[in-house]
Amino acid sequence: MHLVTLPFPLLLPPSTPLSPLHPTFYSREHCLPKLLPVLISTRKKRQQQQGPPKSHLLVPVTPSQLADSCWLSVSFATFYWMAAEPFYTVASDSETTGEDKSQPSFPDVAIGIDIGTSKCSVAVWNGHHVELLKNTRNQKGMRSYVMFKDDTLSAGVTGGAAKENAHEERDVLSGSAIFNMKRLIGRMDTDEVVQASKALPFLVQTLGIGVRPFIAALVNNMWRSTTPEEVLAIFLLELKALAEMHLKHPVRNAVLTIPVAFSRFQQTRIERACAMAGLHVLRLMPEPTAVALLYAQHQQQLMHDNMGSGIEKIALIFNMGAGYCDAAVAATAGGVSQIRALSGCSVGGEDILQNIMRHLVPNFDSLYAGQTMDRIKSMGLLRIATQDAIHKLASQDSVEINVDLGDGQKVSKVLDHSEFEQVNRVIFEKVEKIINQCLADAKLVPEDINDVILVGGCSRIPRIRSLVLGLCKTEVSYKNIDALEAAVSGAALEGAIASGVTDPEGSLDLLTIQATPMNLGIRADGDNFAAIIPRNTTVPARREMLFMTTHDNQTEALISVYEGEGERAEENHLLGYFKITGIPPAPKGTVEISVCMDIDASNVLRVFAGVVKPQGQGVPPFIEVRMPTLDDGHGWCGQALAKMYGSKLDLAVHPKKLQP
Amino acid sequence: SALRLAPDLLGNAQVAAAYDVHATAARSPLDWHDVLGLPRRSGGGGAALTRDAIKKQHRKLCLLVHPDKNPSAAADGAFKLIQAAFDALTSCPMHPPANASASTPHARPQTSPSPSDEQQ
Repeated sequence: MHLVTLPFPLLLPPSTPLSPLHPTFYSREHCLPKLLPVLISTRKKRQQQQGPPKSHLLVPVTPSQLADSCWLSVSFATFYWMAAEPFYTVASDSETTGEDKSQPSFPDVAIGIDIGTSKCSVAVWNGHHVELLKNTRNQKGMRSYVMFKDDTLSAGVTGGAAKENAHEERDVLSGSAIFNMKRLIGRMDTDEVVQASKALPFLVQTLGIGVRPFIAALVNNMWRSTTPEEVLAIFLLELKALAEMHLKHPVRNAVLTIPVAFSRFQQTRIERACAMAGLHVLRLMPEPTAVALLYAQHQQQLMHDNMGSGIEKIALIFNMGAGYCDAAVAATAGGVSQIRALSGCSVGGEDILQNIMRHLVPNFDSLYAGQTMDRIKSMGLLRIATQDAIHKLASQDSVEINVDLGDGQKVSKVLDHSEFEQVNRVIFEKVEKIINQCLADAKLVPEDINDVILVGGCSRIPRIRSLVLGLCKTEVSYKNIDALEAAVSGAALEGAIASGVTDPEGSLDLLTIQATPMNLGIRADGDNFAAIIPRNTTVPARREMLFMTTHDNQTEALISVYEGEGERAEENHLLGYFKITGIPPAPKGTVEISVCMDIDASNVLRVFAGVVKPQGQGVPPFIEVRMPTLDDGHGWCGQALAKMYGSKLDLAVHPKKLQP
Repeated sequence: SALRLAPDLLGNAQVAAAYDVHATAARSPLDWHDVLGLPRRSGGGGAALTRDAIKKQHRKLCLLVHPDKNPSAAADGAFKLIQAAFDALTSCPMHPPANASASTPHARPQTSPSPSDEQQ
């Protein structure tokens, strides 16, 4: 592989602006001049060796090609080269434009990807309808994992390249495969979801200090380290190859669905994983909003068939998968689906599974405290048996579990619905909470809901169905939507719409108007959180709020941007911070500082801040900061800032109302 | 206004719609009815617009100027404006238009960024 000789971004320390880990990497102005010479030289080399420059995109990088010990640097150099291509083509280089014209043009429709905690799927708008792509094993929903072997890596898309080597569930649970990365991505090691992930067969090591956890897969009896982003990137690369195989042209853009509960920090991690896989993220859609778009299409279809009334319909969408559960209320009419409220939490099938495992084996935690080979194997057996039992309980009244865990440990038990519900009581309470919150935020009562749409794997659990339907005071759920394919279909629709595809028959005259799932604001009035863009605000959005200084002759002010639901700043996610300097000296409370937050259609958050009173030549210019600016270890930053500055740079909310 | 003539020149209804929203919002006095392209109420005597009519017109404009649907640089700002107009008109339907503009004097600077501003 010739690329290895290039001074490639990933190999540089994160502090250099050329590195993709550096925030400025994604900003065109910064990276274009620096990347261009590298990219052109890459391209020229490739041209000499491989002929047409883009042909490599059609060749999926197979795991075996990544065999040698430096696979990461080689393959990721390739990924980044592909990711950086859009920057490259904007250059007014005659050679480039000439080449591009000679390229056979293809419709650059973004594909829709649903990366689930447990299963993934990919779909695309084929000009008439949404088509779900199947892998070589004829599966639409592919198990989300990456298997690490001595010399190969393979993701669940192909599920082990050849049929005779097909991965069984027990291989996935052998410690050699990493899965559930959607639960781990962008989380600190103090997070309870990360703590719960220690009961997985691969290694999740935590120090409990607010840094990223250390994860590793078992290869030849050795733990080999990796990160959730890398695992996801490898997986996405296989998905991309699958899509390119079907479409017979390179795929660049993608719409991905994410859980409502994902923080902006986690979103940047997903974007980074996509960049590693050579995919540009066109939109990140909360899963229920993708379903809302599909629902809007159904309603439009009914209208065309003269069966619908065209009256606004309110739908409550509840989605519960293996890792997350979310709810949304959408008002739909005329193909436009407006998201009225969103709520979600990181509770899912994985928690149900772990609860049942702990119930079956009371000494679960002490038994599986050390990850020895026989313990991993025994836990794998328990997981498979439990999973199987939960699936059977969806259609049976009770289920018998018999499993030999080795070492004289045996589980023999009959589990029925009431016991299942008792063990998972806390989970059902959380589900109830997010539905009630969603209804309250949308200012609706259950009677206002026209349709209840249940999606996600866990929506098959009878108790979940009856709970959600009961809360919405209805008997039946909306029928015309496939619980497992709805989110990815919606993402593919959005991919077509946001790529500017129009359909002469009008089946793409659709729109989902998104809303923010969490409050966005800054720390003010001591440790309080002042929400500037409250949750469930329609996006794109721009809101502004006035603040004032808290000390006489205060010349500097710290703007700490947070996202979350807590009333105190520290209960929320810190996204970033910056200082306003050079404030003209004045008595406290007389200087007015405006903080404006802007979210555009691509969900990019920008914060503008500056002094608005006094005005004149003596005040510093406004500052614009794209958020989040923080990288790893953001658990520490808030405390470090408090320790360093105390209340010296604090601001208070100005009583003058700015918002109507 | 000049921007109203632009549709024919550009031949692009979407771009025109987005600039049109900006143009009406920049007029003085600001009238949210104009921004949404709704008929202005004549004093108190005219037929009051129903909430559904406002909603319908708002949806129609959304399909035109939402950045998902409209590639122009003005789309983002235009969408924010029609959203502000919709919020203003539906939250206080009894509000006379003259007062509506007076009660939100700050709304304009924060919701009508110039297209070049959005490009940054």
